[in-house]
Amino acid sequence: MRTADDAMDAIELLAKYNIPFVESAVAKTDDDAQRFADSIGYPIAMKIATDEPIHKTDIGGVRLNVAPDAVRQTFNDILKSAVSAGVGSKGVMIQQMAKPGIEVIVGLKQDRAFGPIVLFGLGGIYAEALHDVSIRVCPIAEQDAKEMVSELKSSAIFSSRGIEYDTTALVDVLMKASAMAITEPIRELDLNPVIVYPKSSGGGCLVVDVRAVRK
Amino acid sequence: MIMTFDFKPLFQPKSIAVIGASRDPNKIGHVILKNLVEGGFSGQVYPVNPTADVILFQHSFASVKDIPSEVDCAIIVTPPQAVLGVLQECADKGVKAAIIITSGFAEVGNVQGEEEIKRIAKESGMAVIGPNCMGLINPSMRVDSVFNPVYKLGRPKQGEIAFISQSGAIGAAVMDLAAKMGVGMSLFVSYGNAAVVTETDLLEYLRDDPKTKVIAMYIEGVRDGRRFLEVAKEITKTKPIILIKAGKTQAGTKAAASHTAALAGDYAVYSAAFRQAGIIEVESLTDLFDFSKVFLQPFPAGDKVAILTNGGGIGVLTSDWVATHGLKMAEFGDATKQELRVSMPIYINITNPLDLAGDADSKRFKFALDRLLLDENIDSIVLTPLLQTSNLDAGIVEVVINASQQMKKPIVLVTIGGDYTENNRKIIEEGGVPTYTSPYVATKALAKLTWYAMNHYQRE
Repeated sequence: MRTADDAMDAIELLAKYNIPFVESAVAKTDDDAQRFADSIGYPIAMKIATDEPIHKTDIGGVRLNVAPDAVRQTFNDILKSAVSAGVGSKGVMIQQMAKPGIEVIVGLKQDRAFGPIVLFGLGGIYAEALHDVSIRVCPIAEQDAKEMVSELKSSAIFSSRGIEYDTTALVDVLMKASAMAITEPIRELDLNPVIVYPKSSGGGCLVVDVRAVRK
Repeated sequence: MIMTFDFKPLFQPKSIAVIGASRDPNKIGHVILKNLVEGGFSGQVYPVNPTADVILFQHSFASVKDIPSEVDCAIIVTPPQAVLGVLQECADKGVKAAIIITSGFAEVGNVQGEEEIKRIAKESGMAVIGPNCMGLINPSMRVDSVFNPVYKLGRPKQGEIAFISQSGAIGAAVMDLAAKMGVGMSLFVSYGNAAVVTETDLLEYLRDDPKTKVIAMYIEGVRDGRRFLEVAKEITKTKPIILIKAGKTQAGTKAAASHTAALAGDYAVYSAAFRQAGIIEVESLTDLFDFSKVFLQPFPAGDKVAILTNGGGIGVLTSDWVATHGLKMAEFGDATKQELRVSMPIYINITNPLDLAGDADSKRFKFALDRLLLDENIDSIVLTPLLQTSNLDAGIVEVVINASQQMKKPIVLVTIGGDYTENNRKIIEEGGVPTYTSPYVATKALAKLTWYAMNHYQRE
């Protein structure tokens, strides 16, 4: 059973490797929550800040599009939901709402036979339901990262209906994750979801949620 | 433990001591000695057994140290409690390699025994295979440590495919099947517990072995995954590795806490790692050699396939599989089309698949095949002759073998039928042509060859 001691400051890790994370701050009081929300700018999302391996939405720990005058109440509601579910937390994360794009998952894990591996897949419920993922043993070269994206059964989604999504940004994140896997004492890491944007609106990608477990 | 090994005394020994040889025909110590002596091993054989003077007409020694001459390799089949003592004697005498057939080590929890084997090997520099293995067969020198009698388990002829197996039982059975299929091998090794020599060490040897063109493997797990991948990645640039991995279902998974752990199960990672290293993974034991043998063909320059047949239906069926497996149907060049049109009877449609009609004889096949071999728009050829027709003479066997021996393009043959067809198919296979009884398997094998040739062979 993982505890907070195993958890790493995943957000710090991402910053170290220049992996773009959505603007966020963890509030420990409802006053902080209001302050952070006002400063980050609306629309915002509020999520229970926990390293426990749970699906936050399942326990009522995620609220999207929180209105400025609902921040304090939402803060308290989220903490209550966590307590009801028996989940420990460090507070409530205030996050800028990410614009919609395609959700993907990027992950790292220490494999028993091969050491650090990196994983890529379509995000949300699709990855686990369809098992549409690509995996490589770290370290990977750019060619490997490109193949990881194109080898998904659903890879056509990145270029459909006339919209080209910025897969180069995804390749970049995969390479950085691979570098992280080799250097940092990570046992498991989930970047889920990572949202990738169309090139036409500036491209890029953004990690919206992260969890890491130390070796 | 990484040691560098001199494999020559192991795979090409000039002399072999069978330690634990037995007069009792039911004991494996007897069968192994018999296989060596009667199988025509090209070097000297010394039985070692303190309780017998003569075994199978060979003078038996009480200990390996009593053998007056040098011994390159020792096959150890004593009971487990005697193994370490006997191995130490080999080390003392300067025996350079050993195959420990005996079981009863790490696989039953006797880790200490295995650590001792490692220690003796490391100190002496001996190349040790096993314990708990079937050992090896080198057809070119008739080195044979496999303890199954030859009338029950066939031995492969000499050839260019090396087969290394983690499981002795499966390895032997598959080798028997391969031998029946007419597959020739450069080496068979069942490496058992891999206490000293591991599968990666064997790969390194095979990388440099000029007699081996294709490496086939059966594994359940790898010792040092990262080193295995590194070595495999290098090898697959010039030699294909065809592999079957057993143990795909998740054994002993705890509830996966992260999405990544849930999605990247042990087998998913193995499969991805193989792909990354350019290893060709197969799904079934029969596929292992069905695919390995196609890799002895010349590598295709591209993915355009021509199908040549005398039975329309099978041509169409085959072309369906060509598409499914990711290959393309070739468009014949103008010169080819013209030459064929001019010489073929009017009722033959000049198209791909090329159906030479039910009255085709071997001459008509030869003419068409020669043209297809010259056409630059065609990278590989699938021949699907139905041999049952009254006009198709036995000359078809020579036509196909001769075409294949030109080694211009990869040729595979599919033919389906009873005794007459099978007899001829086997002769064609003996002639060096990969033959199949299923268009599905034939085209899949060709597709794997094409993928390798176009994506991995000598890739940077």
